[in-house]
Amino acid sequence: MGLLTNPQARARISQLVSKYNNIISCLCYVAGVLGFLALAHKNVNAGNYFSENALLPGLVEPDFYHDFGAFAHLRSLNAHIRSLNEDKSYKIPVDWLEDRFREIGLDVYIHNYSFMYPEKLLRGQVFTGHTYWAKDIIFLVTENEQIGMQAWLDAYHSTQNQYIFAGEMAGRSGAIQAAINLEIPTETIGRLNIKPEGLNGQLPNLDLINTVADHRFPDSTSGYKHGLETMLRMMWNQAPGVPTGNHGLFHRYHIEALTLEGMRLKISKRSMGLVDIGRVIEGVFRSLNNLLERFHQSFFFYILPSTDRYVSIGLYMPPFGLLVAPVLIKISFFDTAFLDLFQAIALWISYGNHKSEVAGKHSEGKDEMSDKTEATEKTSEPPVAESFNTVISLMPKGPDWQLLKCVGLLTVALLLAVISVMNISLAFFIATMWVPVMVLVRPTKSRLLRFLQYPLLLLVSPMGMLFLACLIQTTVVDPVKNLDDMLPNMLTAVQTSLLTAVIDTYFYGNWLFAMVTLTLLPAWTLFWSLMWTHPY
Amino acid sequence: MGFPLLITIVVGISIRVWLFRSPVLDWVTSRNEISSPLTSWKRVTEGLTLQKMGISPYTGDIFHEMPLMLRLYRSIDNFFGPAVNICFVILDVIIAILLERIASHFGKYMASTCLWLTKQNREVRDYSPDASKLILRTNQLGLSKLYVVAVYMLNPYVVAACVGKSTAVFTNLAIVLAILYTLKGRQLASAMFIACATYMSLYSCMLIIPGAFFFAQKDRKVLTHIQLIQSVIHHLLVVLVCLVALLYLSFMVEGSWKFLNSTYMFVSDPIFYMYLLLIFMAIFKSYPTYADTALYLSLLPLWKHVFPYMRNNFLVSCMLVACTLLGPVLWYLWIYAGSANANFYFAITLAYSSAQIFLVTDLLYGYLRRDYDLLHGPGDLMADGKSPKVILE
Amino acid sequence: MTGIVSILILLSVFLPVFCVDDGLKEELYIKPLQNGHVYIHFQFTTLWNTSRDEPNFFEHFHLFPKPLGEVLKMWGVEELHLSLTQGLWRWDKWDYPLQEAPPGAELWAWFHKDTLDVDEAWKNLINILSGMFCASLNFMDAANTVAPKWSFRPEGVSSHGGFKQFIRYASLPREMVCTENLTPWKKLLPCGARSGLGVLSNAMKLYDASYSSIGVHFRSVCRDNSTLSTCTKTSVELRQTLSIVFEPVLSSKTQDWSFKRLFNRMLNNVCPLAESSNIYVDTTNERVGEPSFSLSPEAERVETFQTPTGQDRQLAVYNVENYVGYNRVLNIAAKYRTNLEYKPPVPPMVSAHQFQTGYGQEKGGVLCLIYNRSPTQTIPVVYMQTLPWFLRLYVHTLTVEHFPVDMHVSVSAKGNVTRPSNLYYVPGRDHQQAYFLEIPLWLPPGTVTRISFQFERALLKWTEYPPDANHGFYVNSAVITTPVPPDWSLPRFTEIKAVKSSMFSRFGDLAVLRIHTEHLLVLLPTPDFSMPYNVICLACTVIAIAFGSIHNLTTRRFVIYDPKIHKGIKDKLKALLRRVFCKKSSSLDDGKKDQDARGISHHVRSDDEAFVEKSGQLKDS
Repeated sequence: MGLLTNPQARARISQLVSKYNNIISCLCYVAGVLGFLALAHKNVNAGNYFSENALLPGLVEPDFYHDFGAFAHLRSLNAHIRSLNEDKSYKIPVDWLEDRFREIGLDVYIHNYSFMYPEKLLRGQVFTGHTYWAKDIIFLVTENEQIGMQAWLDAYHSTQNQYIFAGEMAGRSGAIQAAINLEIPTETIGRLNIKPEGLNGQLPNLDLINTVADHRFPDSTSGYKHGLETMLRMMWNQAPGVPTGNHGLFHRYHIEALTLEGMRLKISKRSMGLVDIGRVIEGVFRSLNNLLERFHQSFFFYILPSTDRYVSIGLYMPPFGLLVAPVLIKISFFDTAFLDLFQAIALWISYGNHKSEVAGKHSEGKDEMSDKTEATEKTSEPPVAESFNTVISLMPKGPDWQLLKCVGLLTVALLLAVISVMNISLAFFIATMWVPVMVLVRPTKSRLLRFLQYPLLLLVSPMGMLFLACLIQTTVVDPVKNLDDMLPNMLTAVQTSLLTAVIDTYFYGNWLFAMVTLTLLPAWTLFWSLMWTHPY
Repeated sequence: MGFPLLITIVVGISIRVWLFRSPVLDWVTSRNEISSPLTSWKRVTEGLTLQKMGISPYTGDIFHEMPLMLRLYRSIDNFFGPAVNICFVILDVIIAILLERIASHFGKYMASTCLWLTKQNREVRDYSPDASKLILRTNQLGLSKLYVVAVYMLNPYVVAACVGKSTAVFTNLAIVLAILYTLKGRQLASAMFIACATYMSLYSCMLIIPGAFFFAQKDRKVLTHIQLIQSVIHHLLVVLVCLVALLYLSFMVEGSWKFLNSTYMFVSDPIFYMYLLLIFMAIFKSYPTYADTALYLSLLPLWKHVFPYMRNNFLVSCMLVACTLLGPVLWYLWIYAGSANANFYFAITLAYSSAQIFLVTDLLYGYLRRDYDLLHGPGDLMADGKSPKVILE
Repeated sequence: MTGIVSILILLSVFLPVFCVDDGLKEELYIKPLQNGHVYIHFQFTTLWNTSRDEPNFFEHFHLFPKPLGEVLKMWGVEELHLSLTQGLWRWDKWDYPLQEAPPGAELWAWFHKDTLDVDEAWKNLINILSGMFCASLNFMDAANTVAPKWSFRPEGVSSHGGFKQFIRYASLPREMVCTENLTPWKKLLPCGARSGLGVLSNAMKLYDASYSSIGVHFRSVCRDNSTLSTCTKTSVELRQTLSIVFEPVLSSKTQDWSFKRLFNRMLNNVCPLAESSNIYVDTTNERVGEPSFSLSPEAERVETFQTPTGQDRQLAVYNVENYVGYNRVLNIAAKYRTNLEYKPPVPPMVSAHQFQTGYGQEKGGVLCLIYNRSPTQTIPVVYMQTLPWFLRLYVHTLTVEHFPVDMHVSVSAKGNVTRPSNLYYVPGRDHQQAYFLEIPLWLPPGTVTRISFQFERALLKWTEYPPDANHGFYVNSAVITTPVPPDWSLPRFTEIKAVKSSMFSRFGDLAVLRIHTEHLLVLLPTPDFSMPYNVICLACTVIAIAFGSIHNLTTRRFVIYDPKIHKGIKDKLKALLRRVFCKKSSSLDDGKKDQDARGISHHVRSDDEAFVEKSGQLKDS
């Protein structure tokens, strides 16, 4: 309580901070960004390890040799699909799959759902050729991928979705422990990608990734540059909170899931056939079969610079803290003695037409002092103005744009704090763009400064950030061949991303759109309006 | 009451009604900051259903309300049916109006009746001349009516408690009535309502003491110990009689005592003491909800004259807001996403209660500091131009 | 002479001892199921013509296992049904079983009407049985024991009409059943596993099967085959059952089976104590044409009986005595003509499934689907469910809906809701009483009935969590009791007069079937188990802050800081230093000393002025 009961110590601290606040905040920001990027380096982050010993990945000896069988199935499937697609109806061959699954003795259930028009969706459930399987394994084949998956999940947990109508499900099993989603484009592939990023930036337990990585071919490339690239790419995928595959929808139901994506064979040294993929999958499932408890041991908050190294929340939070520190410093730079949020909110509400009120206030203030009775009669004057006076009389003595900015910075700090807990990548990207701008913005008389501030603020507005993101997407992440169709690509990207954001909100409950429109936009507007206040 | 009051009340009502029809309703209702096992409306519904099935709600472990309350809820249920939400809006309005009454009476109480201005007039010679700007004025007191009502009707905590149909609102009603009648100086009524509050949630029994002291001091210039003890005992007796009556009545209703198992610093200013006790109840009761916080927050503006002496308003309000934002997020991450473990949520609840503790200690500090300044005059400078450093000893 | 007389007398005294009137029947029923499963059901029935009201009831044991008998007598157990099961009976694929059992352990017992304290008797019973069968039955404490009102009736003669205060039911879904439970079960057999059909019970194979369940069923039956109501003399019956479902297709690609392959044993003798030991194989072929498999050796005779739906079923009967002995061994083998091709399974007329609904670890729900596929008949059932106390069941969320069975209904769709006319509900109490729900229902023909209710998870004390808290907690499978449905394809005593088998007369007068649904695995919110430390430390800190500051403010008064009295840390330190060093180097200190002196005096001066001014002001006013 020393700090709370001793006013002078507090005063000293605040003086100290406010004296050097500019330098301090600059240092914090730079240190934060650099520190975050440094996380990709081998000496900073830690190597992966198994927290859940029950997985026993080493003790699995693969006996998946059904190579020809697999190829035969694939061939016949291709043939069948070709025959189906004579009439250009690109539906999955439900009955064919049903027959094949039943041939190998699985229970097959077909599950109907509809979101605009009725669709089919098929799942098999296997108690397979060895008695060592302690768990049910569900093979799920869905049409129009994420919607189908969502429909199935809704039906499985019999939750209700406003836009996807899932049918009642015939065959169900118990609580699902983990899910692996396969995206294998060809028979032979160059390498397997692990895609963990799920809905709203949620990640599966790190142990699942370890398990897969353990059965997968080891990560060949390494080094800081590669690590940084991988890390940034992952954060880039995680930030929008849009699932990078069907697996992303499982996370909400507390089911650990990830996608294995087969990359097409480039001029790569070695290739993987169906057997290798089959062995990977078998190994993963055998490990999962050993699992007695739900995944709970290892991390849920992490960033991966490579498949065998990780950055835990304890490591990435300090740099992020540094990144946000300037905002807090700037708040404490204002003399907070006169500040409490009650007043601040009052100001916020009455923001619009405060100048006249301020003028009015000073005059009233005096005669309130002089005699008591007058003020009680004064209540008979126009009530609205009266209520405003009450609001205004709460307002601080100091120049009020400071108060407004203080509120704005406070909002930003809180927002970033909340977002960082749910989706660190998003918080990081927003912080890197917002913190400097929001700290700098202030009403000014000089035209030059103002004209410098406009573009900055516009750049970090939600829309501006969307454009920027699309620009980066089209130039850096997956660059287009020739530059002249870059702009149209970018524009279409902007449109599609807006549309998908809305659709995701309604179908899968993605929070990005709501969050931007309900929290980021108002905060930004606050600063925009701040620029127009009168500097005095 | 004035036009601004009307506006605030209308706005408050419209917010509540809108929220009742909005999709967030279910989410709000299920939040455990709002509906604790003791105050959740869902459990009340369960209790009513059990009663309809002819099973005593107290055989199970779900229902914890008192029998008379159960009767009340059933009649409410019969009367409003599906539109029970309206009942809660009406309750809020009633409480708001009562608060407005409290504010005005508090003004009188401060201004004329017993303590403040008389004391100030009486002791004005003890005051330093430059303490003049500290002396309260009726118009400032009158102003606080609006704040009280506004803070109640527009307070997100209150709105949440109302929309979440937390039965703590009934307890709050009783407490507010108790305070009001204490201010009015109606001993029997205040005792009765304190008893009601105690009957609903046991913690409220702490309010007996300040009430007793109030009525002990009331219209006595000097107060001997004997008088004090007499009046305290007297007040205590009144409350106890009321309480026993209530319990016996519920025994008559329930036909058994089973429900009992399944339901249960002195400053110069009793009202302030009462208020502090309210805050402590909100902090330390076993299932705290926003309803409790909301009650004392909406009475906070009564002590507007203390605000300038408080130093942590900013800190406290920031902490409260941050906790209110982070609480649901971390709950989601623990319970639904399963990614964050219980420590995160616990930390938030702890921060929430410590924020409240800072508030109450700061309020107390401000109050005492103001007293000091009234006697010694504020901000008299030392020779070297430094403001004197006032410390506790 | 006298010697002989005395011997005769002795004999006459001891004679009644040696003529204990009891008998043993060994039976084995084999039924090939669809899609290559084989259902095997052993039954060893000991019938003893004695009853509670006879003088030497349960005194001189012959065939009846003594340890069990003594327990039953001591605690006045009138009827006892214990089952230990590994695996889940798949109703949709395997049709009806002869002896149903839920996964894990299930025990229910009727007590005699003279039993003073039924709960006490139950407590002792489960403790002794858990020792006897090496199962953790002692966890069937008050917190998960219930007294059903409708679902369970006495299966034999009972001293009371079957009032619910004389029955106790409990089940442990998580119980792991294995060899250590099978061995004591074998020990109860009169011939053990040394001779007779018991030889086949080979643990190695049993617990490698898809489903295996051992059961012990004790009841009192009518000595003369009259109905229960008009029963004069009763005798006690002990049935030991062992049901297994094999899937021979897994090990070898064909669906052929034989004793050798299934049990890795063969029959080479009969139990000498057994009156009869028979083997029945259901050779009915589901599809038209000649039987799909051939048995070797040939059965001595084939019985035909009619199911309630009027379908004829063939039953190949082996009397083991005629096949073994003189170093002949019996190894019944089935050879299939065609290879197995999988077909969509044909579910029985009445079946049920139970699921958990919702996600997250705060609220949840239970959804039970009961199918009535009969196109014409309305079927009465009793739905029974117990929830552990830490899943708070909200009975006002209970809904019962009927949907057409063939329609693909949407999750959000509303069927025609029916209010159950009367239901029996016992609200739970923490640590003491489970939530118990029993609903009698009529299933309209061709419908699926959807029973659903919501629950809320309670937080356990941190010491109450098991070591593997994140495995989850099990919820009993629902028990759905219904009269034997019309498509009952198993033989029953009433159908085949030829086979004098007690196996098929299990139902007594009222023929009921109990469908046990899937059990549920529910996750509870688990704390981080290092939390108590954090909680204690931090919470105490906060309270200390609160108390400390309040105490500080209320017990002390404000004064103006006066350096003469309150020395800062620095001054105190200096004073200390001085006190330490003054002896050694006084010369060094001199300079500092008068510096301090000056500093202090300066302070003093200023403060004095301040005081003077202040007092002046006060006087002026």
